[in-house]
Amino acid sequence: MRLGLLLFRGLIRRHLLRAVLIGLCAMFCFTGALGVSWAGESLVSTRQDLEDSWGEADLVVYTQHQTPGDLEEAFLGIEGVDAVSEGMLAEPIRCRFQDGQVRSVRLFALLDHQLIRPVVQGDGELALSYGYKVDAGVDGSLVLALPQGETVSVRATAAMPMYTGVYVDRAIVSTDGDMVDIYAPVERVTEIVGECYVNYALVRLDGSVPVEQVRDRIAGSEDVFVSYVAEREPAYEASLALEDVICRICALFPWIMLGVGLLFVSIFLAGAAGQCRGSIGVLRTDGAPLGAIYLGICLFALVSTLAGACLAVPAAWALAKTILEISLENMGLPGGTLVLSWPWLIRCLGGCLGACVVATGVGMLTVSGGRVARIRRRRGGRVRGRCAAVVATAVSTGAAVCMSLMSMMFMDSLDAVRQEQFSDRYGFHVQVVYEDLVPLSRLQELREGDMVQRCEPMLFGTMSLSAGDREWEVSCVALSDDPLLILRDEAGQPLPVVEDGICLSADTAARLGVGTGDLIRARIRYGSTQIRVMCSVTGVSAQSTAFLEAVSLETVEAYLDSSGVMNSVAVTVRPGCLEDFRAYVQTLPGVLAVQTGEAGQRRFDCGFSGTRVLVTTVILASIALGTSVCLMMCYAQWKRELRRDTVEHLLGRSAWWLAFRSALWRLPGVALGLAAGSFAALELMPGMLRYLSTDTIAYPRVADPGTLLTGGGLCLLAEGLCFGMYLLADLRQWRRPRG
Amino acid sequence: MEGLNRLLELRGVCRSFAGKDVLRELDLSLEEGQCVAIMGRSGCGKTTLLDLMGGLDRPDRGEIFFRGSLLRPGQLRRYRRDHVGFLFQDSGLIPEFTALQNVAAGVRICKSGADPMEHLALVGLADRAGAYPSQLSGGQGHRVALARALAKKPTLLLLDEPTEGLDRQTGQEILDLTLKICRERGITAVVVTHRVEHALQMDRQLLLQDGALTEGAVL
Repeated sequence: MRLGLLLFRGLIRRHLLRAVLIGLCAMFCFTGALGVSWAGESLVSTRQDLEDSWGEADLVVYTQHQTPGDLEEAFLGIEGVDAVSEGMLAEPIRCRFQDGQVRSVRLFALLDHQLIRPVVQGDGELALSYGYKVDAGVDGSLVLALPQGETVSVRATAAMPMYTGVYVDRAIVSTDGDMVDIYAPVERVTEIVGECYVNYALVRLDGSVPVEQVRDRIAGSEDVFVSYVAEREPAYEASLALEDVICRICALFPWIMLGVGLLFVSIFLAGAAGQCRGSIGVLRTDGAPLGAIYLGICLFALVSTLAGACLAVPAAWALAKTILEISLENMGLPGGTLVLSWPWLIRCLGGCLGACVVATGVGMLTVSGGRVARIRRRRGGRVRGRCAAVVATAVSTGAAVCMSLMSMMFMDSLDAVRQEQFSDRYGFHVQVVYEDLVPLSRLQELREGDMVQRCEPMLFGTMSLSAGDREWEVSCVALSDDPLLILRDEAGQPLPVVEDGICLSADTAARLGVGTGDLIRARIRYGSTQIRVMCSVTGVSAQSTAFLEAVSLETVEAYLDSSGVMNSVAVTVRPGCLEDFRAYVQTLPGVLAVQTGEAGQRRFDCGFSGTRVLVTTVILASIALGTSVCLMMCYAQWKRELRRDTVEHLLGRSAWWLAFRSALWRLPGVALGLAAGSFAALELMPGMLRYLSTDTIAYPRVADPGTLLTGGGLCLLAEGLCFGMYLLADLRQWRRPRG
Repeated sequence: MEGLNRLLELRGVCRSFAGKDVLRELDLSLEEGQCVAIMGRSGCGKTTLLDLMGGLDRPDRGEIFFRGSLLRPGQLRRYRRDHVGFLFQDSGLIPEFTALQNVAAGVRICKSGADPMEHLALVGLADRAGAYPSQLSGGQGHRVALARALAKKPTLLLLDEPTEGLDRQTGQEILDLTLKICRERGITAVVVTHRVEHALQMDRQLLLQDGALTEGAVL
């Protein structure tokens, strides 16, 4: 025991640098593992807390304007309904904001907070939608001028499940960023809009009757005109889709960090134990028990690793807090505090213990190799060492290439979704959204001033699609023959929009179990207008953001009471006219929103910035980790080669030749690692994308040769720099004057 | 009676490396308190013979007896711990330990109860107790190694070219000190050396050649 402690003290003194490196590695890996998993746990907990604090409903029902109390009275009588909360979603009003832009403001209020209680932070009666605050980057209070001239200041934010936001947005696609939701007490909303009514209700079910039956009964209610009934789950899941992605990354990343960290710790420890092989040999020669030597080495490993793990706790706290804040901002969710859950603590302790066990095991293995060092002569060390260096280089290069390529391919996939949203699909600059259905003749006023190159009418709405016993709620758009909004098939070809035909997204087609040529029933709603049509599926789009179906405008017009209407226009403007056109359109009556591509793109980028930060971090970390591992794994072999090469240099061999030979030996490992890493990344990527995909975003697989070359090239460059350092050290050593 | 004084006996010991016979049917017996010199060309197997005598290696064939008892593979560590002291040409100090700790480590391993400081004083290095091996000169390192070996209170001291790398005077001083202590304490010493003058200071000289020992011969 005392001998073990003596050895431990000696090791700490002589190998302090290695102990520090082991501690740093442990700190690094635990910081990553603990921090990310802590953030993940806290995200889940925050979500649960929000559910608990703001409550939840099972159905959301939109109706025509009713007298307060009517909806409650009508729906509570339906079997299966447990509770009803009425709400007021005022017609959008056009307000001028402090930045000079005119935007639509949608005021909403809840008559009671029986089911839902928005989480309000800040002062004042009016509270800005938290999601808008984040997306639009609103900092501080918002000052806006109401149509009647009153100027109001919005200093608070309100967050709640996006029942209204999701469904209204889906009905008028792409008004994101140009439509501001403001929550206020019902008295204040009444004061601003001049009347008091209710037009939506949140419904909680008691579970005694299947939800579909309750939906049908509510939709068919005789006392009120119900325009739309939706279940909570799709809306709720859609709003938290990004959180799911981040949670999945948070669940996976710690294991990678732990593995890499353990590898690092093992390498440094093996190096330390390898360096004191001579000492171990002396002790064994004197008859020292192996247990005492193990104790010394294990204490060295344990203390170094534990010290790193302890230092990792504050670092993990900082990392977790940062991730949590970024993620919640991206998700448009407020608050969020780090929580300590028992499962997480147990996992942490388990991981820490596992790391210590592995570190100790590596130390013991090295000692086991060292204890007979004096007794058995070492043979074949040069060839074996070089082979080990090649394998080590291949493994570390492969890991670095694989991780960085996967991250870069995911980034490409994100970019593809972004491009599809804003370039491939939308071949227009501006989308003008009207408050209600307007005649096609209003296209003419848009063409005034010669700022417009082309404008095409669109009719956005929601629809229920059914095939057999399957039914699915989606957003849809009615398009002209040659639309500016284009859905594409897997080959990237535009899908035809023909009369009595419908283009389905791949997700919807899969849910309904239909394909091209099949007949489906569609119930399409535009505001208070509703039509029922039978359509044949003319194509399945391979869109990644799979919640938009397209029908022909002719199909819809044939069923509408008054044909020749639209509620949206896609516009391409002449170069340099965008801002003028936008300002002009804002003055037109009945315009709900003027959405530019840039604004939508900015909102999209903002929403995904946290994911991008995470992915970029993974790319950089994987390159740094891989090259560092490679560097360390080759270190021992380099030291051995250096001694031999130095002798060769003294005997007259050129330093440059020796340096070249030193690099040449590592090339097979680098090539092998590059090939294996690329292959692994390509094979693993589809599974990874499936894992990360959600109901609303199906990440496409993008294998861009440029990415492959860039990823591999970056890793090679990093490793080349590392090896360059070795070679420089070689040259300096060999060229040192000797006297 | 003769057998009681016999400390170590090697009977028909063979050892080969990579097909080359280094030791062939070698017989050797060492008496208690005897100082023996082993000489021979480089690579003739002197260190191998020393490793076998010290229990650091096992013979391919043949037997080794310690005080009449056969040394079995499972007993080698205890044999080294309780009876054998080593002094190698590279001093064999533990770089992680100070001079005093190096001696104390030997004491702790064999639980001899010796005073490490007293042994450092015996080799004249009491004032360097806190120095690390890297801070000691070659001669001082050898003295510390000798103190460590002696602190174990061994019955057999194996010295593998202990003066190698040292100047003539320092080497002579270390050898003199070693032999003096061994004779005072009745320790059997086996010294591998290339120097004839050192060999002649011993009670017995052996020449290792072609895997066999020749009594009394010098190069």
